[in-house]
Amino acid sequence: MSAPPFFRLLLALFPREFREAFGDAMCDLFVDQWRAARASTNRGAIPKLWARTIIGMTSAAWRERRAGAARSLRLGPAFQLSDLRYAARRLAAAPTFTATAVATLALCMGANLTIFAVVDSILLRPLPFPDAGRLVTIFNRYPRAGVMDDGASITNYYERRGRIAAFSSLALYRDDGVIVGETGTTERDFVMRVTPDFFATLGVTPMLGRVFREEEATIGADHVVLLSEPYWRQLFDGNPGAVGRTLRINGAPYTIVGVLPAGFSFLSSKARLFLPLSSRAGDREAAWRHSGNSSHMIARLAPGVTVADAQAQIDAHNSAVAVGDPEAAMIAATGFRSVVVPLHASHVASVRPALLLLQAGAAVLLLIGLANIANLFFIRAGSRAKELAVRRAIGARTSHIVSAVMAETLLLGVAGGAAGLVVARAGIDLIGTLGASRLPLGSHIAMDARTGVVALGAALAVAMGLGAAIAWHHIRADSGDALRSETRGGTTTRHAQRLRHAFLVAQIALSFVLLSGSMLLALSLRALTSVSPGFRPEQVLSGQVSLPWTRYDSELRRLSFIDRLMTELQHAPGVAAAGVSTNVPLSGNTIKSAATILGQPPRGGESPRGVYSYGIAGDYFVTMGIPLREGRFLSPADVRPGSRVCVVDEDFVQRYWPQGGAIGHRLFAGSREGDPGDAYTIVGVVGSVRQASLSESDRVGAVYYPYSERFDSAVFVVTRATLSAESVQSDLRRIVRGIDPELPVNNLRTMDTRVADSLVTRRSPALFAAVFSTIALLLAAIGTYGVLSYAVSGRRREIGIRVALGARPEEIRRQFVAIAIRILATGTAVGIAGAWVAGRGMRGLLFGVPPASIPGFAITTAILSIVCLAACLLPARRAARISPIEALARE
Amino acid sequence: MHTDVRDHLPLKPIDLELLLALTGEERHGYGLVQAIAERTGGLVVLDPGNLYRVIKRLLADGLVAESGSRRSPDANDERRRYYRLTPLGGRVLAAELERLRSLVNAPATRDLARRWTS
Repeated sequence: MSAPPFFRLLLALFPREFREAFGDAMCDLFVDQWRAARASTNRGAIPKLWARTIIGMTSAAWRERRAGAARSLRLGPAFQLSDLRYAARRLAAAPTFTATAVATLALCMGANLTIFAVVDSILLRPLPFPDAGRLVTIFNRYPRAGVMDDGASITNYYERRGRIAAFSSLALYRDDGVIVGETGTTERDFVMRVTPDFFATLGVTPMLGRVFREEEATIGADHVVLLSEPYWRQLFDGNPGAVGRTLRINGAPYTIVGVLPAGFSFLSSKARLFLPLSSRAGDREAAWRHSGNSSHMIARLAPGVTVADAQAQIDAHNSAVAVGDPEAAMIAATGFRSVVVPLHASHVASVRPALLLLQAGAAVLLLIGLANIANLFFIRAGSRAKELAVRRAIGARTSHIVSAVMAETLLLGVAGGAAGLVVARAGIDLIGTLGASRLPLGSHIAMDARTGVVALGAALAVAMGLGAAIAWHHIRADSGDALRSETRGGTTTRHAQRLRHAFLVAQIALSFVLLSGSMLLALSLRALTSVSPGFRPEQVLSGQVSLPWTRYDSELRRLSFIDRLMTELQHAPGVAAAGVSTNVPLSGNTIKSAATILGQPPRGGESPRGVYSYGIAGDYFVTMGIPLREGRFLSPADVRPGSRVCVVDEDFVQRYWPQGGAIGHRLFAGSREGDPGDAYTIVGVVGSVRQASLSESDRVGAVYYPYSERFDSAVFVVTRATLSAESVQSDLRRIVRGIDPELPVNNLRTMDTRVADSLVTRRSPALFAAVFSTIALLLAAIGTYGVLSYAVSGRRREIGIRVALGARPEEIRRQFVAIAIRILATGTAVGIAGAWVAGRGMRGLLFGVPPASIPGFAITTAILSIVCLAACLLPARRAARISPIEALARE
Repeated sequence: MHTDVRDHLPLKPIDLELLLALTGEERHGYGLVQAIAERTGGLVVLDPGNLYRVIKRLLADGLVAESGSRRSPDANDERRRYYRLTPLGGRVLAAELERLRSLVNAPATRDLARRWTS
């Protein structure tokens, strides 16, 4: 194993003799320390090691060099304190230049650090469990049925446990909500139901008490609960005596068996309580093997086993258990497979492309900033060329010039990096207000020592890169030229000018790429917000109520609760309509189930298709504003036991009866035909609804059953208000509490908010891209202005002579505008090529816009041209106003 | 190089720690860092730069010497460079410890310790 490159960078700070004597040994030592820190259970060990190493190595190198200098009196290439002091004085003497450069770096590094903090927290940092890289998730996929992730079933769990060598441990979990507390003071809380080996799989042991026992995974013996540490602190004030006490959950007493360690959280779950995922022996039979949908499987790979090995073993296991299954052919037709994916990767897969895109965008912004600063340096270098040429003429070595330049870029880099950290702090707050906590692992986003180390590394890299480019420029410039040149400023050599123009062209091209990328995101967002969700979200409020099984164990009780709720809500003032549904569109719940048409069973080899299935009551369609296309809505009279009617939507009709005429057909809930008496008759067709997201492309359709036929213990109550949706919020709570004082209403949000929230993973990248582009435009303006101003000041004499010979001011002005146009045109041409490539890379994030959008390019070109030409007008006007007498007299 | 023991006294605290870590056994870089961290209760954890600055000085003064490089079980069996105490280093260390002992045992020191530690 060799030392990380960053450590080698630190090593380069030491004098050569020292490095030759001890460099290898130092690398070995660092590798040993690094290994120990990695093996340590203390999460802070690695950042601490880095901090100690960076501080120690820089100070040791500094002292070593100083000691060396004092001993030999030789002022070698060593970085001198005097260099830094001199550089600081020179930077202070040019405040506009310094402020521009530091502000540019601060914005560009800040943007990068902000995104890096997010990328690091979400994508890079391993999950907070020991050896987290070995954790995987396994889910059932039925691609030809349109079901990509159907979780894993209880049967899967009991069949696989202990039988697959690739996994050292296997567990199942399910998110749930329960009602906690005594009558009158109840609250709905997020819980996670887990199998006993869940915590062992993660490698977590409770802080107090124990985890669940095997026998507690059976219904009847499952009244035990584990508390999270914050919940324990809140409820029991951190009293260890809480273990053994009871907690009322869903109206029944549960014994507290343990408390989980502080800081424990599983992925993005908000669960504060953990209950056993319990089942009866009957639930574990082969018949329920493919009824996964709400539970998920995790496993820990055995040492030395790869994901591919595990996948092969799972495939073999699935084939083995399918032997003799009467449904095997139908399941095979769906393309069924249990997929093994690393847990972390699978959890963050949805945000990965957008985050990487943003990081790429930020990196482009940093390049633009660097090109800009380099150009500012080159321009200023003109005025230093003579000074450096004189220094060289009287014997300064190349190394002196390099260290003089490096000292300046180092100071700028460090100042820019420090200011960048401040900007990043603000950036992370901004991300927070944009709703980042709703991203997977979003609540973990924070700046930490790693961000600091990256900032320092980036600052050093920036300083060295910039310094190298500028020093090279100085060394290459012919010192004789600079000395002979009469202008006070210095180089107007062709080489220097070409370099400045090349950097400006690069800057404009990169700005074009960034701007057109953010244009594509903005156009996508606009296209999306103009998509109709299929319902009218305005004035609709939705909230969730869960009916605990313990008290709502019979159909009659559930239906009478719903009945009373509907009656009271419909009579409440300000309520125009009210309904109940087992799910609402854009709720995040995208579980689908199969429906089979009577007389149209899937042919041999044809896969059944998953559709969205709703159980509704009250005036659900009227409340949501879903239009009726044909037939009738479900009426309150349809919501009774044994009611065999349903309503389908246009997407569903489109698939089975493209010519129309769905009314009167009958269907079964499930993937096969049953007894014709159990079929549901289609009585109406409603408009189609965007179920999972506004951008969904695979429109599978929906079937709406009466609630009595498809109940769920958690239901959404929706109300359409005559005024604003918020106005009925307290009425809804009061009415629910009035019917059952133990039932809280949760997840209360207007449908407008749900629509807006469904766009959060698109809006934030678009907004950030827009911020980056704005900064890029500002930098392009500064860059153009700087280069043109310099060209003007370098040619004062020429202009003076031309004016004296009779040139008109417009001609002079045109000459400089022409330079700007030439640079702009080249930059745009290169930029279009870059934007085309970038657009193709972004394809997955676009909606309703082609990756190479001609209007997008046109708008981008227009904006960039306006900004750059505006920035060049000022210097061009100044050139046109030059008086020949003054210009010639000054030289 | 000064062969007179007294020319090396008093030792810097970090030099003392490093020489102490080498009494009894030869150690490589990481072994030294660990031994020193252990003895000081985690107060002194050296980074590679500072450790080898000290080693460089002690090598130059002839207090420690390299004893070749060999495979190390606590570094994944990779090769590591080991250091040992020289006879001069041993004498200097002994003299320094004697100096510290007399310092600790001086009546004034004892008096001070009694007053401030209880």
